[in-house]
Amino acid sequence: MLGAFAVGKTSLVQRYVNSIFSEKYQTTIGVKIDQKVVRVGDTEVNLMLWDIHGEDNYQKVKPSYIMGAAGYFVVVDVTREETLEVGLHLQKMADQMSKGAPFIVVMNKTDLPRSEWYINESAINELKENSYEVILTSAKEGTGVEEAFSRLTHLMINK
Amino acid sequence: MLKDIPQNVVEYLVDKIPPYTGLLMIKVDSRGIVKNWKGNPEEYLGGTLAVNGSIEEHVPALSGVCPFEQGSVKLTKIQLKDKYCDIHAVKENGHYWIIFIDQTREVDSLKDLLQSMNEEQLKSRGNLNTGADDLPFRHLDKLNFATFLRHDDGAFSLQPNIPKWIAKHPLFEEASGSIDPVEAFPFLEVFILEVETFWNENRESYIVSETWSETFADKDHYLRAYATNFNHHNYLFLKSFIREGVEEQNLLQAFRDSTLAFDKLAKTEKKLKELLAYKNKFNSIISHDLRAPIAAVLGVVNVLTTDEEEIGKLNEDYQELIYGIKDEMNRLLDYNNKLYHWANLELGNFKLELENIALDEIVKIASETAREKCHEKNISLLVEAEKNIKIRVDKTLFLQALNNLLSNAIKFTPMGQTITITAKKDNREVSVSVTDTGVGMDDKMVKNLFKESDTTTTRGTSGEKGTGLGLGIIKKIVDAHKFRITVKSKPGEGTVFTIHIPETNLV
Ligand SMILES: Nc1nc2c(ncn2[C@@H]2O[C@H](COP(=O)(O)OP(=O)(O)OP(=O)(O)O)[C@@H](O)[C@H]2O)c(=O)[nH]1
Ligand SMILES: [Mg+2]
Repeated sequence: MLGAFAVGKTSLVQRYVNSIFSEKYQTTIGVKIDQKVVRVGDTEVNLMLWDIHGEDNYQKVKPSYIMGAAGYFVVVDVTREETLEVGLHLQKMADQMSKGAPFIVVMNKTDLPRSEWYINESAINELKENSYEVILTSAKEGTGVEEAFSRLTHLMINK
Repeated sequence: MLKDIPQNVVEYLVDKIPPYTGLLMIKVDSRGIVKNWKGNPEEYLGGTLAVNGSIEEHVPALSGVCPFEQGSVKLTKIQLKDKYCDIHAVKENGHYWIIFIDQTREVDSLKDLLQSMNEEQLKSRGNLNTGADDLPFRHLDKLNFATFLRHDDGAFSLQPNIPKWIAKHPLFEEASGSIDPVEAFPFLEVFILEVETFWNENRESYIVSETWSETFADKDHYLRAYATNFNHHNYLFLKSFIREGVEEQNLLQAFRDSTLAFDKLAKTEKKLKELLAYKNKFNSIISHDLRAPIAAVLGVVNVLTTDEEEIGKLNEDYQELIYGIKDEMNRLLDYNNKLYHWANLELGNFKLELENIALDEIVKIASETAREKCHEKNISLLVEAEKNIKIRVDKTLFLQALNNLLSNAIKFTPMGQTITITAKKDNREVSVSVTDTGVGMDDKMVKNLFKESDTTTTRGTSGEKGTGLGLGIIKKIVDAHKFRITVKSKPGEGTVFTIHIPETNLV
């Protein structure tokens, strides 16, 4: 999980792994690792989820964390414009370190009212035109979360 | 508590110092003179700090260390009055932040460690072959370290003594008392690459991983890994910091929380500014762009109504229609004017231009303006203005206020009655009153008269429609001058509006 701070990386993992959501913001220090076993067809896949602390002036994401990644999410908060920029910057680094592992751009917090969105349809379409996969999610309401994880799993397996 | 600490100091805290439980920070100048602090000095130094006192008085360990030469200084496990601390000094903009990291708990465990080591040495006196050399790190469990020996085939074996926390890991039980660290802690997959390089180079000292966290046995653990090379053996250590009360989290949390809150405020402000700009533009459209077509229609209507011959050609119904258009257009224009003035006042797009003016003059101008409308309703307008009163006001705005007061009075005064405008000096104050014998208002109406939110308008005695803006404009002008306006009214008897001009605005 890559992205600026407070975009909802921990929340997405918690929603996916434990089906819970908390309004309270507790910033992640270092890396938090969770696991989830999923079935894809006949095979069992053990997903090792690296919830990496957010990137800002105080904590920078270490490239070596991404080295062994089979795939990754770039998480963006639709209500905070600058999180897209941070996300895309991290994606560039991740692309190099992971030697082109598959990834999905996740637009999170879509449950919040449209009037608060700073990342609108046209920005999303622009990403899609540049052949980024984009999925809209809400860790709070659970929408798109399952879809995002199974889509990435699929991409990783078929790589 | 830590919001106003400079960024490079925070970076240092987050980056260079492992999770800790307590913290005191003191800002000193280069000579060690105390400027400021965060945290509780009493708890660490056993006494109160004083601004402009010397840090050396409180922390003898720092004697001779000031002035700090290098960028950062680090002292470990220093005994202070009540605590053991690691002391770091970080340079920031000509000053130094001295950071005391609470290590009391560590030192307490260290005491146990030393104790065990000494006891062992005593026991083994004279017997050099205790096997102690095989287990050089066996007491590190007291510091919450799990020690792994790395064999040549790449396998790890957990060395005694085993700290309690790792014994609770589910994989530990599965493997009946052993555990593969890389399998148990996937984070190590990455760090181990760095470690292998380090071991291969056969270097002295040790390397440390970043912090990571995992939840097991119902507890959140913060973990760090260390690797070293000792007597030609490779060792890997894992240390657990229990999450509760880890201060680092609070610090970073505080920063991120305040960044988020600040962003939110900035966004709200931006939105408000946009709204204001929009409102501004909207008003200028109303006042300027709408004015032209109104004026054009009025022009045509005026030509029609002033040319007796032309209007005489129309039958009476059409004549009435034309006069109707004229009235409505005049009203629209008036509304438009008011809206424009109100918007400008509301938006603060004006500056008072004060000048000295004879009060009776300005009252006269206002009454002349009102005369025609009074005539239409057969209202007599009495002017009682004392001479030789000079006031300091913005002439245009003050006149506008008087005009509005008068047209209001005309609106609510029945045909054939009287309106009086009075200007006089009582004691030190000058007052200008407009008194009508109109419909009047009850107490509740008077109370709500100047409330912005009150959009109800009342029809005049001849069915005149109101805009609800007139009084708002008056109030704004009065407020801008720091004057007062008062109202006295009784239903059925009439109303008195009085503007009070204080002594400071008399000339
Ligand atoms: N409304 C809404 N809030 C969300 C959503 N996802 C996360 N949040 C809130 O956003 C805040 C940050 O969420 P986290 O999951 O801690 O964010 P993070 O990306 O892990 O943050 P760092 O660990 O600091 O990098 C919390 O207050 C969450 O409750 C969402 O889908 N909708
Ligand atoms: Mg997080």
